Amino acid sequence: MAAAGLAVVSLAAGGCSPSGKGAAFPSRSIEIVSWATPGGPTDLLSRALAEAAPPHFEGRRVTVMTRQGGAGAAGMQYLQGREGDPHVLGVFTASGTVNMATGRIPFSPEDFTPILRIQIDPFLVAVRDDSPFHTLADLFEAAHARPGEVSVSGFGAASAHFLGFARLRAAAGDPDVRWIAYEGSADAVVAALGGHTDAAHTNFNIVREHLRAGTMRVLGAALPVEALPDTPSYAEQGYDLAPVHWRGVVGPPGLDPELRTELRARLMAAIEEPGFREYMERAALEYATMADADAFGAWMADEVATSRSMLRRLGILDE
Amino acid sequence: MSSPSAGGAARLRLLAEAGLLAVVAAGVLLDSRAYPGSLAEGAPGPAFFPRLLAVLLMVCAAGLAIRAARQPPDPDPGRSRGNVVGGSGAGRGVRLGLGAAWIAVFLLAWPRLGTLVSVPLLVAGLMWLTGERSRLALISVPLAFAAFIYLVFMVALGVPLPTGF
Amino acid sequence: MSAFLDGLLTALQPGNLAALLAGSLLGVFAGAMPGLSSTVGLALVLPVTFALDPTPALLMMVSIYMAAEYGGSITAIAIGVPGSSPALATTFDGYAMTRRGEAGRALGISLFSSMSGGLLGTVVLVLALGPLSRAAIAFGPAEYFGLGVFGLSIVANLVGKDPFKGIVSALLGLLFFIVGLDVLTGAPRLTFGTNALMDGLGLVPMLIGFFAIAEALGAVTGRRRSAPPGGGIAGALPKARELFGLWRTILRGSAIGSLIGAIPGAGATIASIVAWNEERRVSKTPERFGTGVPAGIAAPEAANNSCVGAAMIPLLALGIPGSASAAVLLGGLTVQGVAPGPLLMTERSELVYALYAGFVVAVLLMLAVGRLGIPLWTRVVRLRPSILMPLVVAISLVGTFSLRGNAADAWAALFFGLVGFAMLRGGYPLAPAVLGLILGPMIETNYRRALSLSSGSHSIFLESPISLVLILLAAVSFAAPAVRSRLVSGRTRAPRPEPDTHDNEPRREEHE
Repeated sequence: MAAAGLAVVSLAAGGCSPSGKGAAFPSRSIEIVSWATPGGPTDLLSRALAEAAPPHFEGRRVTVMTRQGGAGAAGMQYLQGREGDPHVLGVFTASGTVNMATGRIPFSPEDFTPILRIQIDPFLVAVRDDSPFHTLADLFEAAHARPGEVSVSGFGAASAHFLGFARLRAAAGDPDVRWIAYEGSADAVVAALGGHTDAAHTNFNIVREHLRAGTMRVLGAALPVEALPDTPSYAEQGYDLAPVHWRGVVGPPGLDPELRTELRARLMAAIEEPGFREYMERAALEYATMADADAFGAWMADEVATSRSMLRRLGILDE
Repeated sequence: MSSPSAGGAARLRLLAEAGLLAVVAAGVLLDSRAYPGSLAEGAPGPAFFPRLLAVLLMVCAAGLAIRAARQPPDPDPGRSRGNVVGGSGAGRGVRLGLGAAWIAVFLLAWPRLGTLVSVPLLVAGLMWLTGERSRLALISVPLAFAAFIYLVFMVALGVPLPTGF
Repeated sequence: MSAFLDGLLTALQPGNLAALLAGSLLGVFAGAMPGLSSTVGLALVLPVTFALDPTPALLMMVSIYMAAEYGGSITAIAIGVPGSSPALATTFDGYAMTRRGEAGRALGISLFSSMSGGLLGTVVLVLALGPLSRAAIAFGPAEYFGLGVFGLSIVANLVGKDPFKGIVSALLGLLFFIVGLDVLTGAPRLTFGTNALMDGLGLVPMLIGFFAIAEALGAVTGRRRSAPPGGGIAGALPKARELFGLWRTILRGSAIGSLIGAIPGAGATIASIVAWNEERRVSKTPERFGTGVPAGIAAPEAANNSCVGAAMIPLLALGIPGSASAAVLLGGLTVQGVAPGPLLMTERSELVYALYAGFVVAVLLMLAVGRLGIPLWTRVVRLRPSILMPLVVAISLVGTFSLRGNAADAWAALFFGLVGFAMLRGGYPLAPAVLGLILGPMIETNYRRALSLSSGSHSIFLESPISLVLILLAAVSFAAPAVRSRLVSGRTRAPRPEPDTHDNEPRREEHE
């Protein structure tokens, strides 16, 4: 019956004392706080992780706890409030660090304990198959020649996608390309497909099927994409930068360093599970675990700094 | 209420509505001063639409004020009927305040007391305020409802409702 | 055809049939609970689908999506609170019919129309996948702006007896939409420095506040809902002849739902309101809409269920989710290794046909589940207000919280409850404000987006034939009530034929 099939997730026990040194970890079920849109790439990562993790957490249940709202702040606040508790984790993304840079969310990387960056999702610029543009240079030259008439659609304003493209545009000598913000990456791709904008700035997995079918082409990708051997990267086209979307696991602040290392090892094992590998392949995402948790922390701090300087350059942020 | 003062009450009411709209509109105009300009030349920025709405609301507020000035002395039949059903205006205001406050108290207590404690209290309080006086109903309905929320929402569907403490 | 039969055989395998049935039960429930919706229902089963094979996983999800659209009408009809936002238009006539003591009749009409709309939407999906997916991407900023303005013109038919107050209500609704981050610049507007307001005031908190909490506060202050005449609520179902007599309405509603549903971002809520309005427009007795006429239930319910099939068009053909529910479905497809897009039909045709057949079976299961539930719901209606209203408030707040796990949404619902109570007391209709909140983003964002593309030239709205036609239709629709009332007042010197006594209940907005 329905109820039996659905009774897979139950409530994690609240509170409890955070397990300090000596106490066996895990002492109860693990919660992954998700502040992302249901069904979206970040939410899927949380759920795939919840599927793959239990064998590596002594068979404890791993549940995804939805806490959306306030540009992610509602979920982050929940995570931040569980200081030192290794049973509560969250999936952090490039959007999170950009929101820290803009000040939309009242947190900084120090409010969390970075544990493991899992995946990167390189940005790319795609056009409809009948577009006159074949390289990034084509696009930017047209914008230099006809200022304000070339448009690129993408997700959001002062967002990770927006800044990814702004950095590329800066590297091309700041041509007047119109950034047309959309509510989501898929909407931005529709705009390019319908010929309303000249190109879309998005991620590989969103346009993958259109590339296979030949209804869209890629002008350039931030990093070489395995499935697109003929597409030159930004660097290969003379733009020395590689903006990526990334997602990784963070814990609450004040995690014991030993527990942090242990958590990282357990999660590393979980993402090697065949089921998780299959998810990564199906979602067209690349593994990008860094050397250790500190490297991930440095990466997050660097992302905030890079975003902030770009926002200042664009006049969106004061100073 | 006698009929001449009822006409005055309706006029006061319209004036209050006009004033409220004007205050809201002024607040929007004030807030919109902080908005940045448009990212694209020639296109309206984020302040355009709120300011347009604020101006239209101001016009509506003026319209209401004019209507108040023209308000005939006889009372609005619809509103006086409401008064008859609801009893005295002051008593009604108190009960409205109690109802809203009880919901607010519930929302404050929910994360701390948890769903299974706070939800039955919410239901029982609102039932009492709505005029339910049967002791059996005041106890059994909230408890049955809490059981329903627990079994369906929390166990079967796995909705992460607050558990408290 | 044989491919479809193969698909049907697949859908009828025991495991798949069980998935479809489970989906129907959950869908009707999620749709009916205020706050929960098809999106929440789909998100809740997403983890379950990880463990299933692709076919049962997808069948369960489409079944939830379909059944939730009918489920929303149950609460809309029974207690006047839309169970999910696409059922908003169903409250206008559905709840009026319940107040008249005909809850069973209203639910029967809704169920039959939902079933017909669901089937017709599936036919459209199967036959017009290619052409409609091309039409969907033809919608750019100028066209969306036209659609938004056209939708807003419906306010002219929702303003009630005092058009001026109706317009104020619509303006307030548009203003509520402003709250949050501006899509085009990322700037916070009317957030007063609080992070909780950055995602804006949602539609669900507004519907819960206006229709559940405001009504409950009314009950607390001693205001009585008008009791049904004769003191009884009948569970009697509508006669078959009445249902089949609605075929024109159902066809029109389904056509509107299929067209608007296929446009990404437009969605079932807008489609069902447009369908209600168009039905009123073609009706010989438009003044009776909102007082409990069968066509006022059939049109929006056919439209929101036909949207389900239509919403699959951009999803399957382009890999583009056109609604929040479709986005969760896309997540489910991704997990199953099914990549929707231009090649799906050739590479995974067996799955697509199983999906088509699954829609048909899901609609029939929805009919069965819905029919079995009607006696239960007509009993719920008979609960005394001092028990029913507190329960409605509690379930609404729990549902609103479940939507995003966010307590701020429940606070927003209380805010809207107080605003709605005050507006009702002042004689301001609530429906225009809801329409303003729904259409505000479509109008403002696309207006500015279009002008960003045209460097400020307004000719972009006139060069697109779709946008031009929609804006002209909006002008006609806005002016029509005034023109019609002038024509009618010219004619009323002749005695009106057969004045219908029991259909002349006051409209919801006026009822105290």
